[in-house]
Amino acid sequence: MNQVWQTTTHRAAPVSARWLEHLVRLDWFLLGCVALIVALGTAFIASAGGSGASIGWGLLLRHCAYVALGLAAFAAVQRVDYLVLLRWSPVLYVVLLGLLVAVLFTRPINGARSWFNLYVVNLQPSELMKPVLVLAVAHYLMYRESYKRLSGLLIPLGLFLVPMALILRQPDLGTAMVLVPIAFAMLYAAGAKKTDLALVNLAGIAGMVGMWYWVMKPYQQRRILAWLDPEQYRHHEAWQLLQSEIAIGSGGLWGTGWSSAHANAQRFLPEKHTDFIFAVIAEEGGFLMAGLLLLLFLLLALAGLRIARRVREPAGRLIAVGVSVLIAGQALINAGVALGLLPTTGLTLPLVSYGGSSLISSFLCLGLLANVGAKQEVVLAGEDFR
Amino acid sequence: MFRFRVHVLSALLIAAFGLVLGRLAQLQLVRHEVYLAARAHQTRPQVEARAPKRGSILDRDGQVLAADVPSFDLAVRADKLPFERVTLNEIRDARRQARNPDELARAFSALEARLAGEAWTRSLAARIGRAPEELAQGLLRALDRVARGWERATTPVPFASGIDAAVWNALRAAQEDAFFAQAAQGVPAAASVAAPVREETASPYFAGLSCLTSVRRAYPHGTFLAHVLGTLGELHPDQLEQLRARGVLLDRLEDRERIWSETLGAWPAEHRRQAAGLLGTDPATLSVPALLAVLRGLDDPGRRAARALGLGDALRWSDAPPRVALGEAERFWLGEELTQSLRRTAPAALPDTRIGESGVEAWHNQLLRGESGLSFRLDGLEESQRALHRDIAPRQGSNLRLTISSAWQRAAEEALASQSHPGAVVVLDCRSGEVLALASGPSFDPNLFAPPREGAPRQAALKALLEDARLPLLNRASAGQYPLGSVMKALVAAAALELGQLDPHAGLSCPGHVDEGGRRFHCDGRRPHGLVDLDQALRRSCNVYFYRLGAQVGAEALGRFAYAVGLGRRTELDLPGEAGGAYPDAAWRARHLPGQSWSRGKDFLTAIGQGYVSATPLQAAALMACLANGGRPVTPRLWADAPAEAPAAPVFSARTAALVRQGLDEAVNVGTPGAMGTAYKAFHQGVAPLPVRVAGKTGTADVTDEQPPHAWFAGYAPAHALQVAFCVFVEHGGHGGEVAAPLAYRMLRTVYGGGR
Ligand SMILES: [Zn+2]
Repeated sequence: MNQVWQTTTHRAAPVSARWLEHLVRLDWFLLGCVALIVALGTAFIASAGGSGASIGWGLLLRHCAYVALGLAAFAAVQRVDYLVLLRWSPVLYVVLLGLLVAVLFTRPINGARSWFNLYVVNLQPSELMKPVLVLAVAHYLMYRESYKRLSGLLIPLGLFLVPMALILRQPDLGTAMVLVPIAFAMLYAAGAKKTDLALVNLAGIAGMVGMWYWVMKPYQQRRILAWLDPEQYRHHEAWQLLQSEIAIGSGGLWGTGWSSAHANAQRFLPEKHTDFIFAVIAEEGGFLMAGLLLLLFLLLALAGLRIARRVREPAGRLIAVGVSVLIAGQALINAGVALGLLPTTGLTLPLVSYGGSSLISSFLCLGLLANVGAKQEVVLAGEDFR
Repeated sequence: MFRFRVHVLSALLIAAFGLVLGRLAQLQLVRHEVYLAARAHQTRPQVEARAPKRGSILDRDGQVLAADVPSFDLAVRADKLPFERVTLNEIRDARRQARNPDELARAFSALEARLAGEAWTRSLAARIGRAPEELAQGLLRALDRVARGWERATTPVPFASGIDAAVWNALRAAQEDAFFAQAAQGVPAAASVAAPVREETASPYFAGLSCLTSVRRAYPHGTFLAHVLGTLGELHPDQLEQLRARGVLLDRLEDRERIWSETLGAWPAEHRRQAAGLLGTDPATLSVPALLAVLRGLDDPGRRAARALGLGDALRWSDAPPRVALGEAERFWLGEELTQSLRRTAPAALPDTRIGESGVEAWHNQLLRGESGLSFRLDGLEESQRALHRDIAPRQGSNLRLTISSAWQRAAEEALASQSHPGAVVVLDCRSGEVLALASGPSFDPNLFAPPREGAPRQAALKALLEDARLPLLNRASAGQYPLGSVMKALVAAAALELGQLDPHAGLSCPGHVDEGGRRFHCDGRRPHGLVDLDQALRRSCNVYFYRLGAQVGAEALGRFAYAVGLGRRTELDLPGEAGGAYPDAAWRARHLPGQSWSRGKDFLTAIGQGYVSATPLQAAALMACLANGGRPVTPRLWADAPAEAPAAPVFSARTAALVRQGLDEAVNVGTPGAMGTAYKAFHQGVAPLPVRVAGKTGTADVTDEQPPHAWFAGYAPAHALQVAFCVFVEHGGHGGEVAAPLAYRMLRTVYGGGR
């Protein structure tokens, strides 16, 4: 049954016309959310990069350059049929696994082996792994039904677990953890049994407990302890958490104002322009701005899921689910950390945080999503993933 | 079905975003005020304490006896150390997991050993010529301060002091070369600083190393006057913590009052009653502020009485002017809440952690130390608000001028050093009570104690000092109490005369012994002295004469005089650890010999300074000063600039003093064959005559049968002009006239010059 769907392709039409058609079919609501999020983020990156009341021009320029690169990546993905990418996804997956292994042999930067130092930019393969992983899993799941049995879950879970293990080795707990909701969301959406997923979940929790004892470094354990008991660790691990909470809380409804010299985050919050940019936004922009940002992420995710519902092509559906949950999940985790709901993981806020790899990866994911959404299709078959 | 599952996912996402938004609202809307206050709290000023300069100690002529000299300390930024994170976490774990101090000490010594093995430590130790263990010890202490949040990881914390300037210069040059060599190799500087890797530690580049100028306490004359000067130590971090818990680090009056009230609470009821009686208040309502107010209003005799009651500390506290400037500034700046938090972080606000441990360094610590200054810097202030920054200048420590005369002190120490026994010499100005010399032998070098005490050689030297059986750290002059021997007789004679119970010219026949209560009490040498009057009895030290006199006066009456001149109680010398000696009056017996009967025989022993009588050489000198100046008791003191006190009322009349002095004069200067003064030989036979006439009383105090007696000689000089009173004491030296008196001669000759 699954084999008989077909997409219409307009081989005869000139390139420019196809491009225009594609543009028209893009989900402009989704893109509007993205644009607003990026604009908002850029404004506060300028504030966070500065010292006191002045703007950090250097940081802002580099951020704009990364945004431009991201947009280019987004546009590039629109030029290719995502089904072509899907076909290549196993190769891409293997290449990135290779990169994830290779990165473990580099000199550590800030105590982690996560980056290839390319002088112009530090390339972070774990970020690029995210879109590729979504593609690869979608590719694996689209023609199979085996995942409806518990044993059939082993291979798709393995697709997640191998890169997760490699990323944990770097160590980068945050990026590894954000893969978990994607895995569950994609498998659930594809129709894996809830009881099976619950079993996997239990196994995962057992694995976490095991990790606590055998894998985690003492400083990682401490971060979690600090999250549980900030007072005890107030000088060190919990410092960021406390500072972040204070910054957010003192923002109030209206915020302290953009680039405010008195803002707490400006003075006391390390990594304020990367992992803790949400605290800067919440302090300077207040509940209105931070709430708006969260709302935009939610709308973005809902728009992504709407694409998943609208599209009939099975891989595209899973891609839409994976990307939506990836972006929303990462935003949720990032904000949750800044708000003291989750332990410090070192995860960026997608589309907002400063950092080339993260921005480009987010734009690649969104490019895939938009590509899926813009696909015109003729549906001959019944619905997949029953 | 798929659509339904996507709907479920959407619902889950909406719920999750709702949760996060709720948390955001909780922080920003509900608890906004709390966090606003916390942020104000966060606007923590950079409160930096500024060390006051510790005052020097001078002798009465202004010669420097102790002073701070510049010293170079190596300091390190903890965040630049290759083993920072690991070590800090290990320290914190050790502190958290240790169940008792022993475990903590073990954990720390293990850490120390690990730090000593680090390439960084070993390589640095080799470059500055120190043992890695020594560096590791200092490094661990520095990191401990960082781990406890007392120092920032980004500020240099000193860990090795007393670095030679040349060594530092060479090290710095090597540092610079290494840094530029590294930069030239194309290693991005930022990356190498942010992530120091182990390979770098082998290179001569020590990231984060710097040199701080600090001070070291120096005692330029070594062992000279060591017992008076005392030693300077360093507050241990744990002591700092205790002090901080009690809130005493900022030297404020209210803190002192609090501690004083703790002391007061622990007082025995009897003591409270006495104090209340003195102060004219009800013992139940004896509150600290009231007490201090009363003490401030006391006149001189009242102050003396208060001191005798053990209120000396309170008196000094009551004298100190309240310093509220700091508190006001804090409140102005930081508000009440932050003031409290500043108090909690006070150790960081104590930049100079040195504290006097003994001697005048301890007694006058407040005066010498001064008070720390603070500078408040609020970060993130606009340019226009910079005027709000505020500095409280440190109050520099005052120089402490002592009454010590180096000439007398040197003469005293030379005399003591001329023989092998431990001993002590005290010289007082016999009118003012100023201490001209206070020597105790054997002595020690206070430089050994001056912080920092790290390093094996220093530790070994200190251990040897502490374990020396001759107790070089004991200040025998004021903290050693010994049976007084015949020096006591001068007091007995004066008391009897003052009470009108003695005709100085009446003779008494001495058969060489007297029997009492079935026991035979001998005269010295067991030879009969024949018919003796007061002069002869003092001159020849006839025990029988004083047995009878002592029994006649009685221990109680004698005790009142003893107490008045400074026996059986502390003389209130401004030196820690002073001993009070003992005099067996009724109160003393009730405390120390409860239920024992008192006999005439014990009165006998008391009268010749044996039995239960004990005194410090300082007390013996004070007794002589009182007799020499015409009967006024003196309060010995070492601080030359102490507020003057009116002279005490005389205890003895001028006539009494003159009659006793006659006997003391004869003891030194009458050489009649067969009735020679006990100290005559030392001053007149086979030695050059002194240009001054000396008077005094020998003492030979038996202790046990196995050991030789203690030798005493206490007197004054010149006998006609009455300048100084002195006491020479030699522990187990032998006969007073044969051992102690020659030392006195030697000292006096050094000061007054050989004969004409
Ligand atoms: Zn006799």
